[in-house]
Amino acid sequence: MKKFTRNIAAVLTVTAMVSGSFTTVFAAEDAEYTKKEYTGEEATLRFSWWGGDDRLEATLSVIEAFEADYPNIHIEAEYGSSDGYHDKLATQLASGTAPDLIQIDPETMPTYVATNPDYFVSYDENGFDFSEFDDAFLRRQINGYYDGQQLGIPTGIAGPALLVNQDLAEEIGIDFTADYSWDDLIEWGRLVREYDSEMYLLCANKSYIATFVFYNYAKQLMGTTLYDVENGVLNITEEQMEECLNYIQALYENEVVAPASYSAAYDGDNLQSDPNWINGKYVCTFAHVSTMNVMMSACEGVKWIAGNLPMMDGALDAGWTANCPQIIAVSSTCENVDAAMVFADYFFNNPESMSTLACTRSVPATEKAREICQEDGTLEAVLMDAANICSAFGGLTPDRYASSQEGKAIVTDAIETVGYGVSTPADAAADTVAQLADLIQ
Amino acid sequence: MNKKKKIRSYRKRDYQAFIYIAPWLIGLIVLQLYPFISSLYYSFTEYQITSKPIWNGIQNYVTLFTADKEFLTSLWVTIKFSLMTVPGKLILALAIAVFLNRNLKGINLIRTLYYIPSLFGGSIAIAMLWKVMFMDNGVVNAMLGAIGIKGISWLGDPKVALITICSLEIWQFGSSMVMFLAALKQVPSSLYEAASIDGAGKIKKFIYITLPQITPIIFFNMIMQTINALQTYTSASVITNGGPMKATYVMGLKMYKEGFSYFKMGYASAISWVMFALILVVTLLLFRSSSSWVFYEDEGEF
Repeated sequence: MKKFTRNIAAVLTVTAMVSGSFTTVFAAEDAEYTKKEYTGEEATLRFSWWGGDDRLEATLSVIEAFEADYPNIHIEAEYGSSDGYHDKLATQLASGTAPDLIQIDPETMPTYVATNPDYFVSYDENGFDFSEFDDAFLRRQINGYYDGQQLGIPTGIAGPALLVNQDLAEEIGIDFTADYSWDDLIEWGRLVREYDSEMYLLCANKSYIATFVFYNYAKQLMGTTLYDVENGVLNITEEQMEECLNYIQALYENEVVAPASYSAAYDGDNLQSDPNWINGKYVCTFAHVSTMNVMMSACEGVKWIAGNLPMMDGALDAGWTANCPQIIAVSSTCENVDAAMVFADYFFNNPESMSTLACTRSVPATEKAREICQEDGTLEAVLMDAANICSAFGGLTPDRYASSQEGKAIVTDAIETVGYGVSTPADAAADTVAQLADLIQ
Repeated sequence: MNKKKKIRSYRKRDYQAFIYIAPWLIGLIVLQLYPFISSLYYSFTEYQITSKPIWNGIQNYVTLFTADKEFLTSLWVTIKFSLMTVPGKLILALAIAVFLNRNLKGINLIRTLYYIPSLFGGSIAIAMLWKVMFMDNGVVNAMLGAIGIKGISWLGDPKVALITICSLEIWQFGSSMVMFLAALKQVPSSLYEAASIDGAGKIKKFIYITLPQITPIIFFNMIMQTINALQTYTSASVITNGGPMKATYVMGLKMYKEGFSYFKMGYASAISWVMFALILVVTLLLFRSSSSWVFYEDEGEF
């Protein structure tokens, strides 16, 4: 009950935060930004992040402006693809060679903090100004808050989204704006195939089916996360696992999604490379709010909307939940934490930076930044809608075992065997539950 | 007495020599010997990369061979990969070398062109290019479609994906080809002339003269390519990431995932030592077999 109340409070706060940006009349403009002074010795900071070209360009612009204002601080940018980013980071953290400022996936960070709570310095202890942030959003583990200390700053408001080709959906007779169930997706999948045999309802690969379908379906079915982390036990039973996999099998068998052998070439965050997506052969796709822009850019000339998210009849938990797309943390091996704090302040609190960064890391986390982006015309309504929709659900946050790379790999492998028709859901469920149980031992 | 004095003076010079070989010696100790020994130690520990290693005896090895089905899959995939790529690469390299071993106009340019794929080595860019070429909507299927052949799911079909990966490895046959070409040049022409007088045809000359004469190079190439194949990683990681259905999940990839994605460095070290043992055994077997099929002019004595 306590957990439920806490979730409701978080949902209300986040929803109010996000939707508030449309109604507030730029009250934040009154509060002027005062640049932090830096009188310390000359410092060089390494800043690593992953992301696309827009994010790269915006971040480099902020760095350039920062270096012009703070000639004593030099920022070395280390950017690249998300592929292998956290593998490399784990090694860097273990060997004490991590960059000073690090962009981290919020679902991966708990693994780092659990193995060594001292990897990152506390923003609170170093006097970071969080006045622009809403405490109810900020002070959550998924947003970088661990044991009473803010070890990371969320770069935005994100979460799962359903990106819908609205004209196509309407033409086929599918309404993603109303409430609907998982079973409706199966029915709509059939409609799409009847409409055009070259089209599918949902653009998804095995990783996306794991992240968006399996985990949320399981939470709605169970009312808990996969693991009870506090007591070190696996919550999901073989029967529940089988039910989840049965549904996923139905997605493939009813051709709601493309065959597993087709989507294998576009696994991970590579759905935008699927030529069928580029050519508008899908009605919708699951995406992260932070990656919606990438998907929309890959298929131009389409009227995109953020669709509602599916709910199970009699669900025990809402499943879908908002989080942040990335966290920026300062490594404890940073030799000049003061300089890092000055840069972080410039990055998150400076209106010019807010304007430059815009929505390149999803819908901004602070109201002030959202107002600035709205004024600039860079805050797209579809992103705001998506953030509002997932925030309104307020489901449970995935536990750290389920969201670990190994946990995800076990689930994804099960989905793949079912997708290829190599295993029945019952066989795959037995094997997967045994592997998941081993993971916690 | 005189002898003793001589030995002392030589010892001083010996110590000086260490200064000259110090860069190499430091490299050997720090970059090879230390990781080599520490990985052996880690293989007997539970080491989570982010915490201190805890000794657990042979548990990692027991788990590998008794409980980890994925490891046995990766072992089998690696063996299949080696069985396909090593003979494939050697046969192709030898065939092209025989073709290029003649005096044609612009032969040096042609030799260079054939060698170019090897210059890319295990590069990410080439693996990415391979991936794009072999996608369902890629250029390879488009070419097949142009001649009326239905496209193949090169990356999505578990039965075909390993062949796709192997073809990239085989395509990079240049270094073996260059060595074969050098070996072919060394075969005395008098042997061919004698065989021609005896009425031997081209195929007989190739089987009874060329092949025996170049067996040392075949042996060398076989050893080197087998070692490379058993350690393969890049193509399987970049093109298919071990999929679909673990069809390309080679041991190198398994080791990487366990170590750097799941942070089980102790377990990954155990995999690396199994891989080392496998390479050692295969190499020893090849060496042992060599006495029956490799012919040296000096009978193997230097």
